[in-house]
Amino acid sequence: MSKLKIENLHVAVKDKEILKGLTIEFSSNETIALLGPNGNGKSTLLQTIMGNPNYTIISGNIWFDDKDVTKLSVDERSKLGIFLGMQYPSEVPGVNNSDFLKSALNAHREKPVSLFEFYKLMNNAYEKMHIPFEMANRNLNEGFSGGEKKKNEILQMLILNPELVLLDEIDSGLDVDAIQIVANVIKEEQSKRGFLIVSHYAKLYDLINIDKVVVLINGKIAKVGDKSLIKKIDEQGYEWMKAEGIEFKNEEKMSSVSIGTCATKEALKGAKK
Amino acid sequence: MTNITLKNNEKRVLEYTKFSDVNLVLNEGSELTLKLANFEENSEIKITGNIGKYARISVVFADFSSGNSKIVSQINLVEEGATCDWHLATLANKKDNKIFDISFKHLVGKTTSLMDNYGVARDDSKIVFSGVSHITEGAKGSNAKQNAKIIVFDKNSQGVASPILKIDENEVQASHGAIVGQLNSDHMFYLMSRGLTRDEARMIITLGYLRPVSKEFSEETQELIEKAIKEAM
Repeated sequence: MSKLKIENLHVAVKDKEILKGLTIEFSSNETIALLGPNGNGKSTLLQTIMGNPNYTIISGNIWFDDKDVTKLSVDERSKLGIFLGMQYPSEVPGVNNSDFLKSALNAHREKPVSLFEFYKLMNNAYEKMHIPFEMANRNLNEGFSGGEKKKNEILQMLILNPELVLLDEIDSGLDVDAIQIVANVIKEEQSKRGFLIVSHYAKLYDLINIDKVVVLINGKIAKVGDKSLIKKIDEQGYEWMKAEGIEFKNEEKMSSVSIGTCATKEALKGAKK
Repeated sequence: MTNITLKNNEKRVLEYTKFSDVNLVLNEGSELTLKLANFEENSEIKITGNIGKYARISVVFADFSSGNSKIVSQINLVEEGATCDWHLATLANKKDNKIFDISFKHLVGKTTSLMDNYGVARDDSKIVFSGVSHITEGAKGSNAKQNAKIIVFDKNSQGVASPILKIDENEVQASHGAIVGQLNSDHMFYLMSRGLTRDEARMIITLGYLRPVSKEFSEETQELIEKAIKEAM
């Protein structure tokens, strides 16, 4: 069993502090549902764990067992067994999906995978995800629909076999059938690896096992509970937590100009100056 | 000098991995696909051509030369319906300095020139895409398109894309686009998050970026191209 330990993490994006002292632990034998209002740091947490260079760690630690993750490059984190299923997977022009998957898989192994073994793995993963095998020959995410991209993320997870899986709104863009497929695969995989799943909808959480529910507000863990917490949030939102003394993000002042009404006028005014 | 002449309605596909200057004459209704892969050092190459009535030439140029290279091409569309399709991909590294001066002259009406130039500049290298697509007076109904794209990989790599359109006639179609940009950091992060090292990710992006041109070659030449890319990385 592996464990990811995050201690008092402060993270900024473009000089704006998003995570403000976050502490959480996540093991490879549990599934955590991570909830919270928009813009409070859920994606920031996931991207920071993976090592996205746009996110700067101001202070705090991230440990993977006894290894200091913050000192590792992005690919080293992947090789350690961390996988991030992204909210907006990149379309990489000209890069063939199966060539890419093979390179990625070989990056995780000492000996390169044999053609036969690779074919078997791929076939199995495509079947599980209900993706036509021909898609393997398309370019990586290029021209994929939103749902196809998300399914392709889970497919990559199946092939790379990570210990800790971070999923960032994997269910957005999926139709009803696709959510069922993704949920079935996650459920099947829960015994083999840990999941930290960000979603705004109770639907996906309903379909899988959840060990712990964590609510992230204003860059910190505000609440920890069990599955009943998801139901409550789904029905009542987050406002009720204010009454419990949980500190929310200061509402930023609305800009005096709203796009679509007089933004053009304002822009013209600016140009005249 | 390699002279290539196509008779009326003749159709040919030619591929060269060693060549110097090339002169092309395409007579009425002929069609030529010319695939050129350049792996030489300090090469100076001149391509000239006259394209005749409803004749069509497709040039696929893969440049993996090293050092100082200068490739100059002047293709004239001399009779009605003449068409040239030009695709070029180049990779520069170390201290390479490469200039590509690719020009087309539309001498009569209803002629077409389409140009796509792709480049990857690494290390301290420089790539220049220049050239003029000229629609002369009287060449009504002609179509000229220029596309130039360069990715600069490193701090000291340079890319200059400055294709020029010169138009001396009305009722024509002409467009040009030029992009010089850095490696997309989102793409890098995405590929690295799947375990590829920085160098592997850069290589896979380069291979993909140059693929539209490299895929046109025979398997043998494609292997040479892939080898050249891997060596350069």
